Amino acid sequence: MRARTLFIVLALTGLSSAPSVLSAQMPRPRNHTENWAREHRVAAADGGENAMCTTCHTRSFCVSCHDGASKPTFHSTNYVSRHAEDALTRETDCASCHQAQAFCVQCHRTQGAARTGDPRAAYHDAQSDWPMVHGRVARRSIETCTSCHQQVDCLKCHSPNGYARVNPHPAGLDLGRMQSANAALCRRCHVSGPPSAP
Amino acid sequence: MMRLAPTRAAPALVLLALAAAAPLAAQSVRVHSTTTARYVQLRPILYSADSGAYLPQAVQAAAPVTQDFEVNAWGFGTAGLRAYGLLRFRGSLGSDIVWPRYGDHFDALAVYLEYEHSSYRLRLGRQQKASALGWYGFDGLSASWRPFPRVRVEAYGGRGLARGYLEPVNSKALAALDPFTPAKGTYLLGASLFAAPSATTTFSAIYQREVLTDESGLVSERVALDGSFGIGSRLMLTGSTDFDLATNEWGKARAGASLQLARWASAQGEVFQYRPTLDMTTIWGVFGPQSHWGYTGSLRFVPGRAFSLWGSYTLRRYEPDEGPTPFGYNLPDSSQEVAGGARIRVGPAQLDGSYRLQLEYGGKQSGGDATLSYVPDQGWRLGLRGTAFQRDGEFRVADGTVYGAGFEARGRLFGRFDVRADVMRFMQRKQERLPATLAGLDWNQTRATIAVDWTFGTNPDRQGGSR
Repeated sequence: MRARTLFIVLALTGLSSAPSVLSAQMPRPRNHTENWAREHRVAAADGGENAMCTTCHTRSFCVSCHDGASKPTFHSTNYVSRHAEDALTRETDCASCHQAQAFCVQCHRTQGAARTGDPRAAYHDAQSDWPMVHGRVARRSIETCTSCHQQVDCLKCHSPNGYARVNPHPAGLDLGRMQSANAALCRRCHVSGPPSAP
Repeated sequence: MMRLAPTRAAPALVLLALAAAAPLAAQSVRVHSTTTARYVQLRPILYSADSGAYLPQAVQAAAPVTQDFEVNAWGFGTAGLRAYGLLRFRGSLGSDIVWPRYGDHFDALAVYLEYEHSSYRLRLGRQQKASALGWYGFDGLSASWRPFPRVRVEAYGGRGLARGYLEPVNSKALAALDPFTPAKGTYLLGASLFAAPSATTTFSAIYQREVLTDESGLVSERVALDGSFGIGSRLMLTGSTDFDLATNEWGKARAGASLQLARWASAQGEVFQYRPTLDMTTIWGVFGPQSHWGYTGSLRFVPGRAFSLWGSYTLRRYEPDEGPTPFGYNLPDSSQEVAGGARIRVGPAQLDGSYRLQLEYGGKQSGGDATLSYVPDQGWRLGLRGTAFQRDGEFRVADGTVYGAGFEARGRLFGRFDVRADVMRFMQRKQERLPATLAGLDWNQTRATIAVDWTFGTNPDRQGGSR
């Protein structure tokens, strides 16, 4: 049924008649270099309708990127194999577009690359001491941890109600400020304790 | 059929009604359609208690299909009134596995009514706010005012949506993924100032606050500054930073310079700090995540249309390790990245190549890509692709090298349809340094993508989705 609905939508799209688009080809200006998408804002900021942009572009051309939503695009075909490099170095802020639990964890679980609190450390390069040293890595790259682990995984040890009751708060963290901002966050571990994994 | 919970159904129906009704009443409607189908093979791994290792399983495939409609409608009898919608439909064709989010068959990414006056603008509906703070969605109202040319003041607010998901943080969809999602939704409120005092100078400031709907707590409260300053025609300085008022910590920051050395050469340098953006709907912030600093420089040479060359170097500095553990395990305090690439063009033939190497903290990674293309003037592009990469340490692709080969094509069909397609086959060659039980992942698999863009309706000058 779902596939049929999708097929109907696609078929309607393809069959609907529509006027053809303007196909006039204009020479590309010299300043429209490879970096132009990034650099054009300075030129465009020089006066809106009076800028040189309007010589060739109507306002709706700008609208198609700027005044609408920032249209999400797909990474290249190869990116699913190579995204780890960008994700680890934070070359881009993945979380700006991808919710970790929905995108990272779901797929990594499908692949078997995500664990849910199992202390066996085989995936972490079979480092038998991983539970003892992971904290330093986690503080540096906690977003990498969250691409496989859920909050409940950490709280199995890092909670007053967990197995080991290991305090995760580093020295210097302004806990009072955080508590006054959102006390429910504190209660999540200190009162209710970790819930069961789904 | 897709089943919507009541809390999701109401706003979704309102947005759909807006999206459907507005174009009907408009005199001018332009629709941009993007259909994207992908075929992705994945090879899951399974932990074997007997061998104490993860072993590769049989290849499985996902075939996600996405249909996007971007609708612009105007001509309602009131100058400046416009309806905008960006709607996404998702589905899977014969998949063995579920691709992320493809169980959710519809999303209204943005749907709003807009009234634009010469000095102000109002928007009502689902919107996305992109700024130095990142990308946030909300259902509500935004109002911007231009008191002077090149100056814009904006205020916005409404029901907040989860970052990267476009559902309220307390939605059932998110609760199903994580039992720790908040019970209450959020309100998002913000204000921003943008100014462009000269042709080469821009400045923006933004304040944004997210609170739980019952006002029991703060989710985030941040400010950010962003600016660029041009000196002459050759030097451009840029910078941005943000500060988390809820945790009293600096977030991300960047300061950079771009210098046009000559007509055929340019250089860029940047200093940056990275700290993850973690709001108070999760516990991750109380683990004290550290920031890291980075320094990067790049050079680009474009001596002519036939040849270009670029290279870059990045050094990241992490907060120092406290010392060896009882197990004698130390963490490197830095990582380095070297990358480079070139393009050679002879007639309609074009060769693109790039290489990237990362060392130290986080594992070693190295990979290169090459594409040999035939690019005639008619806008077509046909190419052969090759790739190879290695990854050691975390997220390794076992002990060996993955090679890939495939082709790509893009062009315009019937003067209207922009078509892009590519397919890659990956083959792993193991180096057998590790025992078979520790070989880990097996990356022999195939990937393919085909996408079709077309625009119809009232269309001023848009040629295709890539412009």
